[in-house]
Amino acid sequence: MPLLSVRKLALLSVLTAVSLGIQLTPRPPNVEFTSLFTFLVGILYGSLIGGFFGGFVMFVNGFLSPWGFGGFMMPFQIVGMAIIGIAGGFYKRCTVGVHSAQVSVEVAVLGAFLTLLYDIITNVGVAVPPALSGVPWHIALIAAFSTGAPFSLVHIISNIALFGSGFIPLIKALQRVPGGEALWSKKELLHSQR
Amino acid sequence: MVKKRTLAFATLAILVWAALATSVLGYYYLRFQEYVDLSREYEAVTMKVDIYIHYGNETNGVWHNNTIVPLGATLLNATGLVADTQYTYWSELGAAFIDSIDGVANNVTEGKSWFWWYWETTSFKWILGEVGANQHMLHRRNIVAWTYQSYETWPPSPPS
Repeated sequence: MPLLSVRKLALLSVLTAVSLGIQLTPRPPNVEFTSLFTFLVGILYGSLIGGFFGGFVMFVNGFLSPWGFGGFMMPFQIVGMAIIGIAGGFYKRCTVGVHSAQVSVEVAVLGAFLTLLYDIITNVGVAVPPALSGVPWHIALIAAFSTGAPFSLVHIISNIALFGSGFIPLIKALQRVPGGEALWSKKELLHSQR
Repeated sequence: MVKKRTLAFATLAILVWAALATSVLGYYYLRFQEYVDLSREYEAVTMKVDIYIHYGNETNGVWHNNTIVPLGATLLNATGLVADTQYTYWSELGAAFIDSIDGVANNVTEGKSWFWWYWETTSFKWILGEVGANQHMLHRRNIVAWTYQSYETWPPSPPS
């Protein structure tokens, strides 16, 4: 783990608490903010911390979720959310700046893709118990994907809206906290000079 | 020229759409199969009938084909499944007579009321019902009709 300044660590703790707070609050199924926060942490702190952040939030969620104990699903949720954090770190390396409308669209598409990936991974988790009890794997998987489709639809559409509208205001606000480093502004400056 | 970056994100968006559309299709296919299985399961205790309702206006009436009703259902039960019906039960006759269907009510001043008919499959004719709708038991593949028309000319004209 890279060493973090006190401000960065404090911000990470606050983001963890906020994510967990929202994650554990009763809400419509599959409308969540954790993936957006995880993606943001990936951008602000890099892939390693982003991945760890997402995994940790889902780990705690697995025990305290209002929907009940995660069980078989928990490892899949952890992996799925960790991938979103890792993707945030990668996106930071290849972005074109923070203020453009292009970024909003890109992040919305990326949010949709990462949410789809998360849903695919967690649907595999849904298929595990029936598969272990004797149902053929392909049947268990098809059933899991098909029955989960309405939830995926809600999840992806809500995350397109959240990533598309929430990313730029949040990253602008968050980049000021770690002590004037303004990671994204620097990045933008770098790109504008190319 | 379209940038590589734009193309990459457009591809990603199409990929998400394709995957989501496929899974939604799968969901509806599963639901469809469930209903097919359910209808097969209930086939032994249900039957299909065709119900025609003509509201007495210029336009054509409405067909409710392949309406699934329980075995032993009467015309009154079946009509209640496809339309909003009001009726009066005459205990001395043991018969229920329709007062209104979908808000179109018997009207004494205009001399109009609801009549019911059944399709006679041997003579290929509509036959006017002579008992209350609750007294006419339906059978598999029966075709029945309701028409709203004047009773001042007798007999009323069959559904067209």
